[in-house]
Amino acid sequence: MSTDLDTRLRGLTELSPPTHGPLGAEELHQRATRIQRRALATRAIPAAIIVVALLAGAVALRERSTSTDVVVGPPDAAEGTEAEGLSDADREGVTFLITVAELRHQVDRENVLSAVYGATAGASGRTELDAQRVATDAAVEAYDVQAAAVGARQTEPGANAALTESVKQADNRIERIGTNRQSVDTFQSDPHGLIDAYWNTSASLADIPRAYAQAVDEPDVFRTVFSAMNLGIVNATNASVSALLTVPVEIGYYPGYWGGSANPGDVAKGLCGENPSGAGDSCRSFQQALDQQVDLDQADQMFQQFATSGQKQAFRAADAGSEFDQLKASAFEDGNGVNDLRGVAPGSTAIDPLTFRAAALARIDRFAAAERQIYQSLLDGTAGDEPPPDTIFAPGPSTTTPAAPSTDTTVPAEPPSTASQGNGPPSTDASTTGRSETRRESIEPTTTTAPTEPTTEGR
Amino acid sequence: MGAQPAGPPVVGETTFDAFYRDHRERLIATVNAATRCGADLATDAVDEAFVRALTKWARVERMEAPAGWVFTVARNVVHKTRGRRTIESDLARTATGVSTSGQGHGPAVAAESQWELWDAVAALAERERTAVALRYLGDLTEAQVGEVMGIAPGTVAATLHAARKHLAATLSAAEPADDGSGGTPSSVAAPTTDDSTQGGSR
Repeated sequence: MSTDLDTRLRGLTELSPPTHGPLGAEELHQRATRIQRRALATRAIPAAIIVVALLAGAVALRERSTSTDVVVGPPDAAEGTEAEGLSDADREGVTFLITVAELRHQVDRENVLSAVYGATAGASGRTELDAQRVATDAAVEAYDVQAAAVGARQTEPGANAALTESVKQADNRIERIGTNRQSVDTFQSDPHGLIDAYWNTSASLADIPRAYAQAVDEPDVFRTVFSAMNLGIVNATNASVSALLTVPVEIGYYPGYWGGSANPGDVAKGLCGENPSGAGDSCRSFQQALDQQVDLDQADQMFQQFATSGQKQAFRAADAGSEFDQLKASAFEDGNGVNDLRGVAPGSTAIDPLTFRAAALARIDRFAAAERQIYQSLLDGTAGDEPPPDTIFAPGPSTTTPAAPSTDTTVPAEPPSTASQGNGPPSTDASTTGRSETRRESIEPTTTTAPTEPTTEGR
Repeated sequence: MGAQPAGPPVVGETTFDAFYRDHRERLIATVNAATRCGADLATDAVDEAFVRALTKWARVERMEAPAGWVFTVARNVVHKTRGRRTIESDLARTATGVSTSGQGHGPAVAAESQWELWDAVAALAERERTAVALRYLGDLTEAQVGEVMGIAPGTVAATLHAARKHLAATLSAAEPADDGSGGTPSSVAAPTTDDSTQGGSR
């Protein structure tokens, strides 16, 4: 009876077949990407709690050790105190994080340029893309060297397991860059799918500082790495928004589908129709950009909340004079009630693709420079000092890899803007970034997935 | 799940793709049997769990029983989603004639006795039901079942033994009814628990 019952029990599987077919690879990865975006945005919150706790602990220790060297108050209150020298391990670690940030910067640039190439069906951007790939490859090499130098791939006891895991995830993504490039070159995937792939790589790199920070004992180092990490998330998200908007800007409208075959010739407005904003989830090209913009606002708030005034100033300086916010705002507006980014339809604004491309890349470069400056302040021993804003825009290659040419003959340098920066897309913190506060009310907030995974591995 | 041999490799297929292909159907049945949520919700929950596994595949694939992890996530999704489901949907399901007797809604090849067994499993206490689902439908080892349920392997064995005993009693009590000699399965069924929805793909 027992054996018979066992056999019958095993046969019960047949009574509950799936009610729909398996998800396609594209849908699986899209949904996974959406979860990862949320996770990246929310991961900073527990880290914020840790930094506050560490700061409180540091204050308490100083109160015990001396009555004349107490720093009480919010993070900014500690500014001006002399930064202590870095340990050799921290110095190596911070150098590694700079190479990580630089690699992410190059990947972000490649994302935008790949979007240009894909959206124009290869008609534009090939030269810049080729040059960018060289720069990305150089950044990968520098990353590999530094990762080995700091033992970021060690798995033996005593190693930072979180860092090892984080680097492993990033390594996996980096390995796929070649595949992504093949898809770009052969138009095997629509541009949005490729943007997701690059974003995943960028997000995995942005996660490395968080893992590194978990093993940092020195509060000042932790706080600086924490700020740089937050800015890295801002930068990665900003680059993703830029890439997502690059597609409609290059095409001239928000595409509703790519014909399924990824053939750029099949692109059409499709379900986006003449009102991408009103189409909701049906218009992926608009909705995805808007979702990412909301994430960018959240990341921006997180950075602003915990950065020192010097770090905020560096970021503001990187954001100042940029034309990109105006262009971005116009791009979103051109999908609200109309679907025209060429300025033909009444109420739409013409957005020049070359100008948009240059502005997007310039902003990515400037934000990356600000991020690098924060890390560099640790190496220079000026982490508590306010960085002179003009130094972060000094021209020249990055500290670790040769920078890709941000512009060439077809990409004009971003002109200084005199336009108002107050009418951008949904943004929540114009006081610090100059961006708009008006969140698009017609768009439902995306649902956030609650953490329902098992808390114990193996379950 | 865990002991199930993988299907033939497909050119260009990733390890995740193979995992998804090989375990999806079995996991849907396992989740449905364990939670009595219905095949619709089980399918959605398992797919959602696979998506989450994909987001952290480098870690999940190194686990001894990745399918056990997916099961746990899917079960959590079911619990969370079921709380949002309206009573109206249950009523609508009832109104459209979905029965709990197992007739006419499952695969044509399914024998009546198998539907009786399904109902008997559904009537088990939650702990026994979960253990049975994981062990037999999910094809996990007793050790893996213990990992998923958070209990010792010995406890798993004892739980399965008790479950089999309850099932045997339920099925034997049902036989006279099939012969027309009266009696109802429910009169001797194992203790039921909280869930209100039952059935496989019905």
